[in-house]
Amino acid sequence: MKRRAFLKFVAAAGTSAVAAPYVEAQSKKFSGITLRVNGFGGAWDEALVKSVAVPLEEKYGLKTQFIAGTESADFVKLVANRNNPPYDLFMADSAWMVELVKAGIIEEIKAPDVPNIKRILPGFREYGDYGVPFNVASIIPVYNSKYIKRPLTSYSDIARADLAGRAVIPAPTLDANSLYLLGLAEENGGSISDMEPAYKLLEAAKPNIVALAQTTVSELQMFQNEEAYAGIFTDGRAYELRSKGAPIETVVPSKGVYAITSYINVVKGMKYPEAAYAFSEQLLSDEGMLGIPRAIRYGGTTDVRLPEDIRKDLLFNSPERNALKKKIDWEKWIADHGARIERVNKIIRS
Amino acid sequence: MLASSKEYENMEDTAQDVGDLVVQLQSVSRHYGETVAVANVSLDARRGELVCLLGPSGCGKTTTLRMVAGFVEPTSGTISINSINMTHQPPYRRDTGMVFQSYALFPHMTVAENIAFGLENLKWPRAERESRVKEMLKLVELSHLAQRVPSQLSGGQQQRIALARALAMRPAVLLLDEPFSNLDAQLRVRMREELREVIRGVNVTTLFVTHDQEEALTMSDRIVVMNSGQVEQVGTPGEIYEAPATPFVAKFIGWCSLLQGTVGADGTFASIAGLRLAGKWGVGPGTAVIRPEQIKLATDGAAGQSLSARVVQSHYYGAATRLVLDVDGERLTMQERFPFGRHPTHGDLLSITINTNEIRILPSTPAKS
Amino acid sequence: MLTQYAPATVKDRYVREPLLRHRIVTAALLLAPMVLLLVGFMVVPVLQLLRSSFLPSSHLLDGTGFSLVQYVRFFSDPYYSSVLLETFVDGLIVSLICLVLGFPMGYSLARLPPLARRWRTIIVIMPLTLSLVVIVFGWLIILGRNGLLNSVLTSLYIVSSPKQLLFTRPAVLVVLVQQFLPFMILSIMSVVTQINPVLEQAAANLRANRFVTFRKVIVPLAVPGILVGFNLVFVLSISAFITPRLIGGSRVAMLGSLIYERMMSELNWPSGAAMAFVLFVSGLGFTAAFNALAASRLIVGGRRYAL
Repeated sequence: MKRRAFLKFVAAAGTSAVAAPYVEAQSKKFSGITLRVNGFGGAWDEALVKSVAVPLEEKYGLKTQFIAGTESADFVKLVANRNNPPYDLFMADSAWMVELVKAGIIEEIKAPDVPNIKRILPGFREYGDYGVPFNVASIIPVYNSKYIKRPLTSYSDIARADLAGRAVIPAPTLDANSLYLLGLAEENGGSISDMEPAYKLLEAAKPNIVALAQTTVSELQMFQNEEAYAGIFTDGRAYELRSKGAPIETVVPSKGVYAITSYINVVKGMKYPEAAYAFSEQLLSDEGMLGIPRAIRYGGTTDVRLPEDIRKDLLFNSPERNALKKKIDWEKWIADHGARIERVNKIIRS
Repeated sequence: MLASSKEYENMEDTAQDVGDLVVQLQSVSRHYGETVAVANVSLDARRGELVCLLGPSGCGKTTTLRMVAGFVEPTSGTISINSINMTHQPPYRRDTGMVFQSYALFPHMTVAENIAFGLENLKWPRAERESRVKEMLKLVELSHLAQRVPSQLSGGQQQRIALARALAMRPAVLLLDEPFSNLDAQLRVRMREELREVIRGVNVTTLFVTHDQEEALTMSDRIVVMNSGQVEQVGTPGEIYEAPATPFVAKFIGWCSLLQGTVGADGTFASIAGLRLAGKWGVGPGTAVIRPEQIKLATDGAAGQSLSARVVQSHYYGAATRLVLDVDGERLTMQERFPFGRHPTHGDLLSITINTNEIRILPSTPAKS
Repeated sequence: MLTQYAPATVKDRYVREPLLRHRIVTAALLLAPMVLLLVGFMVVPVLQLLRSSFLPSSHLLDGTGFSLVQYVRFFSDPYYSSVLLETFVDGLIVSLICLVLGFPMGYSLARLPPLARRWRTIIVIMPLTLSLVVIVFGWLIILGRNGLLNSVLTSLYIVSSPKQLLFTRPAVLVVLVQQFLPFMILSIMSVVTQINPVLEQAAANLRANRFVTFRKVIVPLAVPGILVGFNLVFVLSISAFITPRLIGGSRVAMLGSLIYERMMSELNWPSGAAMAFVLFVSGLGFTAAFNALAASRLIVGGRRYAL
């Protein structure tokens, strides 16, 4: 992680903004306001600075400060300081949205306040009026085309005999990344409340699996070092490998793709809702929406027209593809977390 | 005790018939880098002989013993035991039994197990082993301690067990490394006598290292006096004491005064300071060896040359008083028993006689100091 | 001479007792910081851990009351017992390998002159100063499919194609051995330095060759050091969780990594606490039994010669 380096970058950006022509800044709509946003760090936050924060500053004099951290720790901070929230906007993925809604610490965001909400693709906003989705990461099968000549086509292909001792799957402790289990279940007649088909398939795939990746970084290394030729990964990370020269192919399972969405939320009790809406609007605009896909090829959530060089690398790049995105009962998925870890551990480690 | 020793003797006779020389060192040297620990030492020990290596610490006597045991490999020369060249054999192939200065009993074994250790390694059958252990315990009169561990034994007891352990294997040669140095003065004399009795009883060839001339004189058949890695003199205790070959031997064995001087044409010795001793010695420079008992008080009417002496130091030893005297500018040591309350003190003048007939003059040899 | 060892007379007692009391106070003061530290940062947390293992909930420290549900879950499922057993077997294997590798090293270090020993000891300790993460990543480089070991093996034609070395049980054991070997070496070294080398000479003089000397003299006398080293390595191995997770790629089941996941990923603290306590008690029981067995062999002639 390059969070520290990034923090420095943000700090530098902040000070240079202060140095900008003072008189002109004052005439702007939100000058003097700084929005505090929890950051994910790295290229992600950099992309948001470039495509959202900088344009907002230029247009409205609105400053944005990304505070890099981890979602779990930042969530705890938010819950512990309800009366004086440490963030104005809170980025959270689908899994954390469950907790945020339950904890009652975020405001609803409605289309009249943020007109661009109308542009969000159907099925991409999972929590009613809570949260504005701005990015999707898909959990999909990937393979190294240098060694695997027969392309994988579904999640279930992870059990294919020719992958013996060559596959890596994310550890079950990673809630989002273990969505492939839901894929295994639904591809084989199961559902979120009947995961048995998934476990049966995992049992069959066991001889293939060399390791459970504890983090996406360690999984990245396994693909890079050719410890694994196939596995379950995220579309953005697979693109990262490709861009570094590793022939890692992304698979679009025809029966449906499981993805996790990133949302921006307005924290309850924050002082500048208008500024927050402006931020959301910019995020959903063409410029804002293309920031992250341009940098790290995680997909957008609106009907934005994708430039060809980006479009060919994205998974959700056409209405047909977008229709593949499966609906997930996140609340149940999170609730079954413990049982899922235990079950997968027992299968893999016995 | 003697019954068992006879049995030991029989065993020796049947087992080995290789002549009389049990241990033989030929021109053995040991260098540690530039340092010469042992230089060109030759010596031998005959069957049943008790040979003592005597010398001050650092003289090479212990290194010599350890070379016989095999713990130190000679830089040159050969070592034979029972006429077999053992120079480069490891310790466990050599027919020796050693009693270490610190006894080196195994702390995790009982007394009986300690004694049986060598026998186990020699693959003695269990029954023979057990009877041999009993026999050895009886020999050293510690049968009642068989099941104790070494830490429960006194120093003297430990030493006897170490001896029993070494002898149990019926070694061709028994090696003793300063066996009494860890005992207190009284026990030392008693153990010396006991040890000698046991060794004589089993009639085992023994090499014995000590820096204590009294131990050497009382225990040995022959003494090898060593100094700076070299042999100064080999001889019986009597020869060593009465006829020291070098000033070093004279000085090391017993208290004595050494006077540098010259024997003139008339056979009279004149020391550098001017003390003259009338006699019939060989002409030339030499060192006069005068032992304390050769000096008497003139009043006793003893024979010899009369001289006047001033007391420089007076040391009371109970049975006798040792006096350091100034006689014509030379320092002489004498030993005498004075009546109670009449010990001479510093500055007193005494009249003494020196028995010049018994005094030896060692001709000077420039090579040796 | 005798008076020196005579029992204390009544008069003596008056003279000596203040001194004795002074000595006890000194000892107490010297021990106090460590005892306080242990009570504050070990005993209290362990008791809290024990308490939380009896909570009925499955999330953080929610809920109240006493329940055996966490323990029932552990013992009713043969999976956990088999992981526990495997953890112990792994611990034993690692300890044994460390013993076999560490003994010659510890022994030879002990027999060196102090100055030569010092810098060699520093080399032995050096790996302990490295962060575990660095060590593990080093091993990833060595054991990887395109790693050092595989390329050596293939270039020597020992194997035809790179073998899967990472994410296997042997790999985990090798890395654990590497990590914990210094503890064994230092334990053995410290006890062997206390074995008088003259005992080895005595054994040699008593016709024991090197092997017999080793077996009958060195090993029995080194038992206390062997025990200390064995215990240290065993306890460290059964509680390891980073190595099994990273080198074992989570495929190798050791209880430590299960506990870590239950605590940190599932946030199921009561269950994790119960598992930690099972490991704690069984590990303690195992080492205690092992030590008692070994200690009974240290008694000769009704007397303990060592420890």
